[in-house]
Amino acid sequence: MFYRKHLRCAALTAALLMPLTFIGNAAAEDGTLVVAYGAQPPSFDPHVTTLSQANTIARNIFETLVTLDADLNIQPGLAQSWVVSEDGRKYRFTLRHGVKFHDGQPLTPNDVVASLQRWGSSSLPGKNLFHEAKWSAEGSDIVTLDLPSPRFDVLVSLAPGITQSAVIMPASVIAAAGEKPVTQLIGTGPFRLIDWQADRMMELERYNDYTSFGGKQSGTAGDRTPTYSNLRIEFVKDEATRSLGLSTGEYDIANQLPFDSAAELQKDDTLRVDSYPGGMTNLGFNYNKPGVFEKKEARQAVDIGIERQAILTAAAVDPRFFRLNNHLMMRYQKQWPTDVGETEFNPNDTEAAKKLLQASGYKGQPLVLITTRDYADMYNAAIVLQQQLQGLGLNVKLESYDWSTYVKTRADKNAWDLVVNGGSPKPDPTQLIFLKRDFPGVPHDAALEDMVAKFQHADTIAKALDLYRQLETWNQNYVPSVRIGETDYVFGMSKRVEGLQVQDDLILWTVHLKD
Amino acid sequence: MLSYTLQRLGALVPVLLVVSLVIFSLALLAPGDPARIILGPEALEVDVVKLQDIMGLNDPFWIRYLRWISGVVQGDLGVSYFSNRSVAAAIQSHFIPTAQLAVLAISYALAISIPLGTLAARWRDSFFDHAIAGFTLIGLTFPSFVLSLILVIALSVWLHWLPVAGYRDPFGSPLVGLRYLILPTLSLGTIYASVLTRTVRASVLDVLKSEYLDAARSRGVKENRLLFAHALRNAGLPIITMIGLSFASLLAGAVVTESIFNIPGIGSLLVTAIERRDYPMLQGVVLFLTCIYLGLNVIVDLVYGLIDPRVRLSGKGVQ
Repeated sequence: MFYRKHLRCAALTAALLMPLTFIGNAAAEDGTLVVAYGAQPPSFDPHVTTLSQANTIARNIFETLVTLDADLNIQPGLAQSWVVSEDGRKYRFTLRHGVKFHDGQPLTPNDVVASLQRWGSSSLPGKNLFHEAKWSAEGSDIVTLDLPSPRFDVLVSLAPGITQSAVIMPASVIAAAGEKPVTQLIGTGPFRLIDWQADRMMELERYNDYTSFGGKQSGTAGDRTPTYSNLRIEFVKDEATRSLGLSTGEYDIANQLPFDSAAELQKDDTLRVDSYPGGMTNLGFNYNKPGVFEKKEARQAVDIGIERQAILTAAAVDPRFFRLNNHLMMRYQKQWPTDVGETEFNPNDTEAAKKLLQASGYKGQPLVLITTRDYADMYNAAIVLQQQLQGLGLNVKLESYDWSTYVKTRADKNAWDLVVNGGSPKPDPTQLIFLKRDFPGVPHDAALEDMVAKFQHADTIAKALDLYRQLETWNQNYVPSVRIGETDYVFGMSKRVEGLQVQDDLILWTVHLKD
Repeated sequence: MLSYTLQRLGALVPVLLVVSLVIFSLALLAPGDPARIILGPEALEVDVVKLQDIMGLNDPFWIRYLRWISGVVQGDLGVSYFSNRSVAAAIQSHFIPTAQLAVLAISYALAISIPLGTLAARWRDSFFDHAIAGFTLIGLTFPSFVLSLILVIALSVWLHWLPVAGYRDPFGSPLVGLRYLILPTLSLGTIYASVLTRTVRASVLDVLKSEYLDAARSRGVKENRLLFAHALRNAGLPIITMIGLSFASLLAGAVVTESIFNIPGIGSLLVTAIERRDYPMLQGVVLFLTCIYLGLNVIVDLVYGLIDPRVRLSGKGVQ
């Protein structure tokens, strides 16, 4: 009697649950694009955080004065036009009419001045270029910029970049945040944030009062009006779950997929897998700590002794997703052409490396290579590097930390000798972190600082290119860090997704959802 | 009973004070800090130090502790460094999915373990008993993430019955919400069912040796009634203790399951707070979980006191 009742209960429960399995999956909602990213960035304030993903997700909400088309030409953005003075020191931007923030307030020159002053004093590119600049509001639609000296890259710096874009926020939001990062995400962009469940998802809807930049959509330029109504960004930390969710149609797009899942996903006819340039992989030396790498011979030994193909294969698995690169800039940045050092790159000459190491006076002192498991590609690269360095005769111990401990350890000048750095692309070489004298471990070299100072005052691209070639030559001779190559980010999408474009990251407003 | 209850509750005050100090110290001992995390991997040290100052991270330990504990005693657990939302609101919103999952997982585990454990005890050393022992062994030794991924591949990827991951509030849309909870429930519940099945079997076996069951059998009580109504009921105390422990551990958040199924529960909130060094969130969540454990302990103590008068009278010297 008793157990019969029990069985009846179980049967009833099963009967109630069975229909649930036949309710359709949620992804294919009409008019909603569901995109899975990894963990939520800790901040979405592009003026403050240097995380690239924060910046590129935020560009659905925030906009900039100017934009870049697919060929990296400057195009109008919130500024519909601009005039540059003959001496190149004064810019006069005319703002687009009728632009409203997502809270309904109109965009005014004061908002632009407040935003760009903040960006100029908070962000790395802002401080690099605009720390002495003066922004002013004139009338109802004019913003002026006064520079102490002309620069060739003023407009490029104001366009969307991979990190720390010069986005425009309401002056009231900036005032409310004070010196802390903003947490109110109010912009003028094509999507308006309507629901944000921290670390889980962001629900954005097409902004009905959006003022289009007009023109053909290209890169981040042109008309940004989305053809679908809602954009849901889901933060899915587990990368296997992101891959599986893409397979089952839970997500329309899954970004930053594990490299080793690409081959499996490509077997699925309903999916497309692609990639875009992610960042550079370097082996950095700690110049703040006295030791063997003060000697150029030791740095050169590492440079010529390691085998980069194996390191990048460990990091990114498939040659489609990595490229060897000895240059400071990424290969896709065609505006910075150079062939300095290409013929001498990656000789993998272990015998010559061992002789150089001997000449450096290295006697087997223990060396610490730090890395983090939180970025699988960095960690895998570090494992292979450790083995290769040991093969050259360097007594290298690998220390792996969680991300927070890793960045703290990296800032401690006595805690390490070698580090695997992943650097994001920058619009000009002087913004690269491994050349910034204040960045942990970076050398303080007079020749480097002289070139960087001259670069700050280059008023034409021809002068900048000449300095870039000098910088490349210095990099080749000094070996401040060992360049290994560049890796991609892999993403997958269902065939329901059409028209997706990429510039630094996915441009989600370009997507058309097929029925 | 009232004085016993007050005595138990009063004992919690010093425990909570010590725990609060330990939580605060441990959080600050971990290397790294939220300013570095907010500013990202390419931040310069000068900017990190500036933000640390603005956030008050460079203030002395005791000032920070007193600032935090004075808020806590007034019911204010602080505000997250990252999302600017109150810690209490975050705990509340993340505790709901965890509680839903815990209730479903424990219900599913009970629905399996009670009949299986009881019948395995009845047919001791039979093929059925060995099969159940095999099932419980697999459940106990299988890592939860492996079981989760097998379930996802089978029921989501191959059969397309259930979503891979995610969470929808069952109070908003019951059918859709339950659908998202089935896979994590099966994954977690199967593991707890293994533990409970073994406990049920062992407890029922103990009771089956009792003479009063022979007496009942001789009076003509049917075997099934004897087993489920008499033996199981009297074997209840260790089973209830195990259910309580399992439930408490589920309420503390099943970190791996929540991560795989992308459920915004208390476990994922805690892990994210640790990863980011979000001290107010980390301290608030750990304090909350401590209170849950202490609260459950007090409830268990009170229940024992209700059941067994010797427990509540022991303080008065009665043997």
